[in-house]
Order: sequence, then C-alpha cells, then structure tokens
Amino acid sequence: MVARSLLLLSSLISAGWSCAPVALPPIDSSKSFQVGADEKKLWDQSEIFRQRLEKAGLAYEDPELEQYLNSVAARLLGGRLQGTNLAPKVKVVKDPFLSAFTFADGSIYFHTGLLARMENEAQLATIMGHELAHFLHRDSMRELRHKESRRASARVLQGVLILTALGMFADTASDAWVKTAVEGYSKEIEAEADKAGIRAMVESGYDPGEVLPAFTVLKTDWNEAKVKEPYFYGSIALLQERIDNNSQLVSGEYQRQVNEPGRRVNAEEYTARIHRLLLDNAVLDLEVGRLRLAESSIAKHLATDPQSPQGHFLMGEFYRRSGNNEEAVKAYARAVAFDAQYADAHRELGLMYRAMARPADARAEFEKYLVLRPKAVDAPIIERYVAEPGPQ
Amino acid sequence: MNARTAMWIFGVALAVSLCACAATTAPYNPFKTPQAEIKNKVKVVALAPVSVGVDNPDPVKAKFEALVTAKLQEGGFTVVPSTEYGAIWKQMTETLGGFFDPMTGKRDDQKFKTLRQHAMRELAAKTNADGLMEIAIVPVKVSFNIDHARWHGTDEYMRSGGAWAMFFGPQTSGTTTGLSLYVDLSDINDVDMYINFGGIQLLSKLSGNQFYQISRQELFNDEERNHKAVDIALNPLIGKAIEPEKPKASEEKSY
Repeated sequence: MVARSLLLLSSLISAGWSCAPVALPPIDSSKSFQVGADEKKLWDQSEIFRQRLEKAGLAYEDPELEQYLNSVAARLLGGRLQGTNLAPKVKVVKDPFLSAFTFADGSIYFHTGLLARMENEAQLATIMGHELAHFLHRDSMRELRHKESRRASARVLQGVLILTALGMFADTASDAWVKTAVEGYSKEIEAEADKAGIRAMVESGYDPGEVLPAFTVLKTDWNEAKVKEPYFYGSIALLQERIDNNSQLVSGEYQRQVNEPGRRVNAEEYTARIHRLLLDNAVLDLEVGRLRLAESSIAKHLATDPQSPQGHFLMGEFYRRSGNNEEAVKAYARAVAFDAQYADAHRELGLMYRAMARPADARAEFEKYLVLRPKAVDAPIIERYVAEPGPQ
Repeated sequence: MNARTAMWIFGVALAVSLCACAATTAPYNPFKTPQAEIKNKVKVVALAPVSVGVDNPDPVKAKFEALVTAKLQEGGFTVVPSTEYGAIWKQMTETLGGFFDPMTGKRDDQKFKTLRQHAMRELAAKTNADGLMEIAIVPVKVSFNIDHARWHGTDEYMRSGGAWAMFFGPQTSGTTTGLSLYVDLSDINDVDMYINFGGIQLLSKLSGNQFYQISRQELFNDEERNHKAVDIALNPLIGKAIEPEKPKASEEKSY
C-alpha cells in the first residue's frame, strides 16, 4: 500500500505537477474581468513599485517617448481590451541593463538599456508583444498561484517523507523548494508568451522578419557586456530559448509574412524617438564601465545627428576612459565647435591639456569654463588650476 | 516491488523535480569587472587611507595597510601608499571648503562626487595609478548556529574554550556582530572593479546567556586572523586560491 502510494506520488511529480502553470482565463473584451483578492494584491504591488521607482529617481522622464511606446502597445492590442476599462501603461526605467517586465495591472517597464539596443519599431513590438502576452494571460497571477500550490504541496510531501524515514531529505528539500524556487516565469509560460507575442505583432502588420534580429541584437550585446546581465533579456540561456522558440514560429507559421511588402518596420520613427535616450543610456553605460556599449549608442546618435555637441562630448568621454587622449581631445573640441557655450567640454579640454603639460591651452579652456559656470561646484578647484604657475 | 524500491524511485523523482524547478543560488562574485580585464587595465593601485572606527585607530590602519600592500604586491601590482591619495583628498577638500552642507550637516552628494572625480584624476596624473583601493574595517551582522559563527569566509566560536565549550556548554543560535575587512577597487573613473570582504573576528561573544563586547585590547591581536582576512578578501583578485581552513592552535588545545 505504502509502495503504491509513493509510486503514485512520484508519477505525479514526474508528470510535471511541480512545474505546470496554473490555468486562468485570459483578459479579453468578450468576458467581464474580475480582479480576485490575491490578484488585487499584485496590482497594489505595481503601484508601490511605481512610487518607489519615482522616489529613487529611476523613472525616465520623456513624455513623448512614453506616448510613442504606449501607441505601439495599443497597436499590438487592437480592440482586445475594448470595454474592459483596462489599458497597459508603458514606462521607462533608467537602467543600462537589458530588461523589460510586466506587472499584473498591465504596467510594462522597459529599461533604457533595452530600448537603446533595439533598431526599429518592429523589434520593439517583438518584445512588447511578449510582455503584453504576460499581462493578457495574467501570468504573474498564474505564477503566484502555482507557487502557492507548490508551497502547500511541499508541506504535504514533507509530512509523507518524514513518515517514510526520508525526513532529513525532506527538511532540506522543502526549504530549497520554497526559498530557491525559480524566479520569474516558468519555461512553459515564457513559450506561451513568445507565441502570443509574435501572433500579435504579425496581426498588427509588423514584419516578423525583425523578430529574430530583436533577440540576436541582445545576444550580440551580451558578448560586449562587461558584467553578467542580471535580468531576463540579459540571460544568454533565456535569450537562446527565445531565439529557438521564435525561429520555429518565423520559419513555420509566419514564413509567408517575413519581408512581405507593406509590413511595418519603422526604423526611422523609432530612431528619432530614442534619439535622446541613446545618450542618456550611454552615460549610464559609461558609469558602469561598459565602454563599447556606450560607444555604440553614441555612434547611433551621431549617425542621425552628426552635429550633436552632447554626442561629441560623450564620445570624448568614451575615448578618455579608453585611454585614447588624443581622440578624446578631438571629440571635446568638436563638442565646443558645435556649441561654444558647452561648459563641461571646456573643462574637460582644460583637464586634458593640463595632463598633457600644455598649461596655456589648459588655462584658456578653464577660464572659458569659469565664465560660463562661475558657480560650478568645482569652480574653486578649477580656479586653483588657473592660478598654477606655468613652466619656468 | 517492495517499499524500499518504491521509496528510491520516489526520491529520484523528487530530486529530478527539484532540479527542474529550483534555481541554485550562485556564490558571491567579487568581480564587478572580469578578472582578465582588471589584470589588463590595472597595474598601479593606489590605496586610500584605511577606515576603521575604533579607539586608537592608527596602529590598526598601519597594520592592515601593510598586509594589503604585501598581498597586492604578491599579485604583481605596484602599490602607491595611502599618504599620496590622503594628501590629494585633503587638499581638494580644503579647496572646496568640505563636502558637508553647512545648513543640514548632511553630506552634499554632488560636491562629494565632484571632489572624488577630481581627486582621482589628480592621483592618476601624479602617481600613474590606474586603480584606487578603498579599505575599511566594518562591523557586520553575523549569524551563529550551535555557538559557531561563520561569516565572510571565516568562523569563530561564540564562547571562549572553542569547540570544547560547544560540546559541554549551553548551545545557542542567533545573531551577533563581527568585524570584516572591506576592500573596493575602482578604476580611475570610479567604476567599481572588485568588491570583497574578509571576516576578521567577533566583536561580541557569549558568556552564559549574555553577550559581552570584546575589549579594544583584544581586537586585531590575532595576526593569523588578520592575515586570513586579507587572504579571503584579496586572494581572488590576485588569482590565488584561499587556503583551506585549518584548526586554530588555540582551538586544538581546547580539545
């Protein structure tokens, strides 16, 4: 009897009881949507997260970009949420690492790092479609209920195991179960989101030929990243899973639509919308020492705006931090050539000349800096440099 | 099929299921920049003055600066003594009139960041340093289980008498305070490259059911512990394995 019960239990485990996602009806305009008490808690968490993000100064402020991102989300949804009083809200987080994530209430967050890597709107729609699928399928709720059921089952199992003299194993097992259960969504849920995401983008008129490039761009960047990316779209294994799932769909179900005339890619508008973000994200990459990624964003910005003083200034920062002082001086000089009032560029030129033992040039640049920004925090230090005696 | 076989299958199934569902917790990685890149980029490390919050800190500062210097030199780095950076920092701070807000008494973060950037660039210009290492001795929360505390690569018994006391005395679990060595290497643009800790010794131990503070005289006297803390904190940086733990002489005597 004991043997039969244990076998039944082991079959249940092997059959995927522990990993199978919980079934929940998706959000759909055809059905009235009711938020349960546990789901309401998840919605509240979203609001708490938003407030914390703003308090920490990590919310990226660009209303026009936000409006554009929300318009892409609306295009992907079509009429799916009509009459539900629900609408996703897309926001941007100042963070150079690759991530996008979705809360139960439809708040979708994109990191600046991920937006900076995308090349066009169709690639953005690929990621957005995947994230929208998490919202529409109520995946955070499914995952929560799944984890709750695993916790409850762990407690039952622990009792069984203690009775069957495997008590010590059960102790550590249930502990590990609860504490180190997989964070984020399960493989099955992510695969569902891949499928639903690509369907939404194709139905909205986007070119599915951009699906794989969206992920391969991220994978290529992974090799450039200085440190291991901590988030979902920065994990090489999970990215490969996205690539594998999506290449099956693109080469199968959606092969006909790949590069079909009239399919939307919209690189021009996307590039224009992230014009400022490219530099803001480059600053973040420079701060964490990811020089190549910073250079790539700055170069993208300069490709569409070759006279951008800030673009040239940041290229100077890239060169200086790479140890290429000669190119750094040239880039800073270009920045002041396009904007003579660019105080930071004058200061950097002064510091470079000072380090290169060109005191007269250094003094001239420092004086310009002090005229432009007499109350700068570092004005006393720069004044001291100006007063330094020249070579005898 | 008997109950034993069924239990074995059950155990295997459970283990497989756990492997499929549970993520392993990765050990702490002190490298914020890949080790190879640090080796390539950093040849000269300047030390910042050691920060330690105890009475009569100067001998402690000197002791740990010497240990860190020797360890970095063992790893092939050229080391610039902390007096260099200390002097630059002092001069810059005086020039800026300090970095605390006179109204609130709080640190002015913008001023501090600017000061640090200028100080590091000046350091690089004067000493050719391409990295700055900050060193601090910090109090940390330490968990102990059956009177045995483990933290930041080291361990110590909560009562005098070591393991002997553990066998025959009362046995408790909880949290206490320990001291750890903190090292933080950043490049000259203030990008974090390597951050690590090495446990030194407990700051608070047990006598009966009461905690008591270790006196200042007893702190940092155990040279073996001091060395070990530096090994734990810096051996990964210099590409050297940490020595396996050996029982301490005093604890061997206890047996």
